[in-house]
Amino acid sequence: MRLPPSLGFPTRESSFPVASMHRWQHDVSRRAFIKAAAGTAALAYGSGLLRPLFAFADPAGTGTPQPIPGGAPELGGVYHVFLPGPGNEPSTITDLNGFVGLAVLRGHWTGPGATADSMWEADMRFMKGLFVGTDGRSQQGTFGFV
Amino acid sequence: MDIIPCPDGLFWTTSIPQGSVHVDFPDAIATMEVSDLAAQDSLNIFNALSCGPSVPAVVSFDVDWGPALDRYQASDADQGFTVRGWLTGTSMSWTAQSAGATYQSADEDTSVFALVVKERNGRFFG
Repeated sequence: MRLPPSLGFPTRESSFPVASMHRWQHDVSRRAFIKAAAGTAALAYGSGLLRPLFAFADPAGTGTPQPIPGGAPELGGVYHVFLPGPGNEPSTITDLNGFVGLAVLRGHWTGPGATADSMWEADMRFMKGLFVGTDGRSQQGTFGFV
Repeated sequence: MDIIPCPDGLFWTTSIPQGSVHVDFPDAIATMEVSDLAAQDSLNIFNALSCGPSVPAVVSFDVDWGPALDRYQASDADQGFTVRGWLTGTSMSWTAQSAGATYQSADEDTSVFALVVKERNGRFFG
């Protein structure tokens, strides 16, 4: 399956080689960044964009997973997430042996300020299974990318 | 343009109750149902990525995956991951409370891209 290019979900392989990442960070246009960043929005609607509160407030240790290495070249490689798309890693945590679900959706929303054309977009993911936490222990966990 | 890495670690990932996710892998069906998750409303993507000002919010959502549309697999030795599973359809409903107002999804939504996979990465890769 390939996504229409207009939807802005480039695959990692087809975009920017790692070797050129540093240069790209300085050359990236605001328009290109907006397009890539929009593909990362967890749940965006109108003037709202939701993300989880203090994902892990506890000190590193039991139950805390580790982020995947690297990140989307389209976002400069500094955020530990890859854009949703064919060939890209869907998980945001590493040392994982489990199930991952990823869903990119769009629709209309209702609420204060909404019009007939008010659209929301979301990139929702779950990771469930065995992972190795920051304490080095293997354990079961369930996580959401929201 | 300067890109500020924030958070410098797990990216918008949080622990959710074990019972909030159900996976029927052979049938390419999964659900993620979470109620009253504490969240931050960052208002826009640039503000969110730079950890700018935000307001407290609460979000509830129900995401369904399935049925299978096609088989799917990908692997990348450099990144250190392998996945196999299904491309699927998906649907979602949500409600959010932010700054005293309530927002919610309308009835219809459009699936753009969805998958349910088994993944091995990091020390489980290879």
